Amino acid sequence: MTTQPNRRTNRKLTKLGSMVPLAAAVLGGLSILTADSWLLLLAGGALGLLVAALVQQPRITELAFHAVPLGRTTVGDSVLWHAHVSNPSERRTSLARVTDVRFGLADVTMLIPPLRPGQTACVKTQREVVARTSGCLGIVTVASSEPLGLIKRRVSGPWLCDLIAQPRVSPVRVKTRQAADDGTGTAVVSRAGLDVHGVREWQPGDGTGQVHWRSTARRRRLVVLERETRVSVGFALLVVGPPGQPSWEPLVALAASTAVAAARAGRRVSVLAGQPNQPVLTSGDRVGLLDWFAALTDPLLPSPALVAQALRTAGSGGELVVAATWVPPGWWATTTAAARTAGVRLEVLT
Amino acid sequence: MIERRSGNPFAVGSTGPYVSALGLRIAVVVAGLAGLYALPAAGLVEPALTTVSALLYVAAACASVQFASPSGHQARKVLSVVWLISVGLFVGITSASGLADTGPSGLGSLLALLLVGLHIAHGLVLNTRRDLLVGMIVSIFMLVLASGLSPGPAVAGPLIVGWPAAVVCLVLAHRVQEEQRSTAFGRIQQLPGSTPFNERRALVARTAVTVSLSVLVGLIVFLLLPQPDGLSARSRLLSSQSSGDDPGGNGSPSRDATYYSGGAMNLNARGSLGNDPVIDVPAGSGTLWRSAVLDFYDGTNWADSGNSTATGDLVGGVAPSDPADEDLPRGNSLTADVRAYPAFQGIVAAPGRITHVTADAVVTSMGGHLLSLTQHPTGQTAYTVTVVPPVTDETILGSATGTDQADARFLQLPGSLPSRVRELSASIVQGAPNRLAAVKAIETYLRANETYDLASPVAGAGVDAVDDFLFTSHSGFCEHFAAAETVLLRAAGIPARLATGFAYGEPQTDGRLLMRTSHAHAWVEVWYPGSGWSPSDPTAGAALAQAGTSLLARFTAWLGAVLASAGGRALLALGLGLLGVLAFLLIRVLSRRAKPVDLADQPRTRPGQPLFAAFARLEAALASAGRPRAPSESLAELSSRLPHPTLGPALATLERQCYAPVPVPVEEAQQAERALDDAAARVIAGADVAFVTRR
Repeated sequence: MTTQPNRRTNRKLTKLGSMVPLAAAVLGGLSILTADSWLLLLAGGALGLLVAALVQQPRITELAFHAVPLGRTTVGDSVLWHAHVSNPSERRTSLARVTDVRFGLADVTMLIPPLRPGQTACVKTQREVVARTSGCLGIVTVASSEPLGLIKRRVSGPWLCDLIAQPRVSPVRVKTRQAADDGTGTAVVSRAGLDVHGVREWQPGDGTGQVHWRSTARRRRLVVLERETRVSVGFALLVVGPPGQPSWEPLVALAASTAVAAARAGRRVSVLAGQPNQPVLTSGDRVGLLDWFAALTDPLLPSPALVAQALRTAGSGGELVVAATWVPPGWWATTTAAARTAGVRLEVLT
Repeated sequence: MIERRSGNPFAVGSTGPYVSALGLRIAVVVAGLAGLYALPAAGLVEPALTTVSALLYVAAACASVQFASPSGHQARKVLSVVWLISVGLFVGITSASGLADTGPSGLGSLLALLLVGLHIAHGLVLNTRRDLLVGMIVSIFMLVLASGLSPGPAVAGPLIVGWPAAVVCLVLAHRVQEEQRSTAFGRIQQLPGSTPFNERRALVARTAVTVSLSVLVGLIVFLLLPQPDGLSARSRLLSSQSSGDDPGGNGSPSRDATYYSGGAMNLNARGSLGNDPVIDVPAGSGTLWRSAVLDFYDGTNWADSGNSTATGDLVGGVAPSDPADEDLPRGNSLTADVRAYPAFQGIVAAPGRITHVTADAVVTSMGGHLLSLTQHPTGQTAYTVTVVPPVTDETILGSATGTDQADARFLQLPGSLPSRVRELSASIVQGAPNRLAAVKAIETYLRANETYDLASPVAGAGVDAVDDFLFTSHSGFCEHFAAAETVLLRAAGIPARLATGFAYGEPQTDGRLLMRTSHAHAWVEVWYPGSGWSPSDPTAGAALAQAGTSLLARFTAWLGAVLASAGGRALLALGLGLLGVLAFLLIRVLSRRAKPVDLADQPRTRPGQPLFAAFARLEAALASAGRPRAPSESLAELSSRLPHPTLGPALATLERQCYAPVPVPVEEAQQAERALDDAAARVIAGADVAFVTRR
């Protein structure tokens, strides 16, 4: 704390502390009414409590706070939070409560015993990761109302400590598409074309024109004929949002899972969002992708230019996955038309 | 280290977890007992009931600790509710049926009873911090009730015990609250070679400082603030310090200087008289200035049986008629001018039998013994009195002959007077050749066998006050000495009466005697045939109750003298304040001596001190992780042992801070300090924490 600028200090009477002068006044008044010195002595004793609290005001401004950088973690996990509070001053500090408020982590309040000069108190506790985040700013507040709880002193200031909380990934199936070695970024897939790629069992969605009747008759099961073509391995994931909906966080987790699964399936994954500080990321690295999703906070509705960039990134025959909780009327039709024109397969996550 | 205490899953009722802090529980129970015992000390409930209540309360409080089970807790809760309803009903019915007769003091007793019931019921559910605090507040209410409704000195004991206990409650409850609000607890990392930190000891020390400060400031405020009724209230407190028994504790009335201005006198009354000036008189005009005489004794009270009717208002000069003095020869008269002060009650005091009073006021003769002077609208505060001084010459008194006093009032004794008093009287005066010798024998007996004590014990209900003084307590003040002599004389057939007024006085530089309220006095007037009423003062010369030897008594006397003046009080407050400051400085010096020597203790003037402190923390971290720095391990070796990207430069900075002629720049030192702290944290956390560069 001592090394951090912009810290704020305040001091005020607690509820209990404001009742003490009141009690002293009542007792003093009663002593006048009853002409009783005992009550006056009690009134003096009540004031004495306040003076004792003033004389022994909490000493916490000297405390220095330090915490171990947390690194990466996943929403829903617990992290080992390790901090130490030291007293580099020449006077003993008071019993203090140190509260660390950091977005992404459950708040933690640590009770720090009185520290003599040079002493350090270590705190080791598990903190639950409650939300995605990618930042370093936390607010550390040191408060004390020792010894009687009549006067409270608070010092608060920022504490920088890196933390990346990635979304929790769940298993998602994405079609494997290994890029050919010709450097074109395309892969041979079973789609409409001239050359026969092979036969396979019928799946829902296959048209009757695709059925290979001879094989079907031979195998006594519906078999379709696949023809091969070269398509892009590009996989663009466009996060639309908007955030704030109840389904926003599950959607982000699903989008992150999809991106990770696509990368694992050999696709060239690009993630895009209309968030000014969130650049387009094209990566097959799981950590990089999840970091990108960790930093995703409040994307705007993607501009036509961003949609066009997403379609380009996906490439002809590639896929554009749109993760949206809601889209404005007309946006979907426009995007569908553009995707059809670009030959990009459009899917939606919601 | 502070350990997280496990919550009690059975704690229901108030919010918050079960508190198992034994110290807090003990403090609450002590405060509760002090509150309970304040009530009988103030005469609000019977002592026997209090003892039973205290036992029940302690048992209830112990039950809260011992039986933390769902059924046990529910049973306690039901029991406490039933108990509370019962007490409430009893108090309600009693107050509804008899409040009109009991008056305010009866209401106080009912309120006290209700508080006792509430206290015991609450003792059954002392589970959470809030429960414990409520218990403490009820205790304080009982103390305040006892202090307010019956401000006798006996409340001192419960207050002295209860107040510090309440402060301890506050400190410990605050501690518990802080623990309950916290989710993690700091463990002090002990530096190698330093003194282990004893947190319990530190808590005790801090609590002791808080209690002392509270009491000290309370006393200073008490001394400096104007008192509600002048000196008397403060002196009431003083009398509590000097009394070892229970004077005034049984609802005994308080005593003040007006007691000595006629009317009636209660031998069970206690209290200080204050020190306000009443009258000043010419020196040499007599030492015993009589205001009134009392002739009727009922075993506790003295009254003037002739004080029932006024003879009329007499303006200017008046010679009151005292039927008993009618046939006495008129001797040399004495005239004295008397100046009265605001504390003057209007009852004319005179050094003998009044023959004439001159005052610019309304003078009322009441029963021949009492002259009341109603202040004139012009503000007259002086009067001139002419008296016939009493005969005090022992030669004359010893040979007194003539008609004896025929009025039976002066031989009256209560029928309930124990026979041993009469027997004692007969044994004392046996063999006395004349009345004077009998009087002297009784005076001598009283001075030899009884002691003077302003805080003497009060006789119990139904007990003759004189009998109690002569055979049980053997201590009392002027009232008891004079009353005892009067009774003994009457038992021996010698007419006597109790005289009250002012005695001896304080010599002034202008040749006058100042009579203060503290000079109020009671003595005896004995009838000598042919000479009339002659004073006899058995109190003068009586032994003080250990006043000469007891340190406490001397201290009390000194304290009384100091409290009597505003300057003395201010000085005492200043002295207490200085004492507090000295104690504070002493504690600071001693705590500095006991401070462990480590790197953080470098003088503050030395630059880079935070850097050394950070290195000390790293050393402590290494020690706690089981990899301490060896005594011979250099900083470079340490750097190679701990492969940390920023530790090497930080240790190099530290080395330069130690040995370079030019101090390291502040920014660089701060950067190195952060790096050392990072390394220390990493050492303690273990190697499993991924490293992320701070932005």
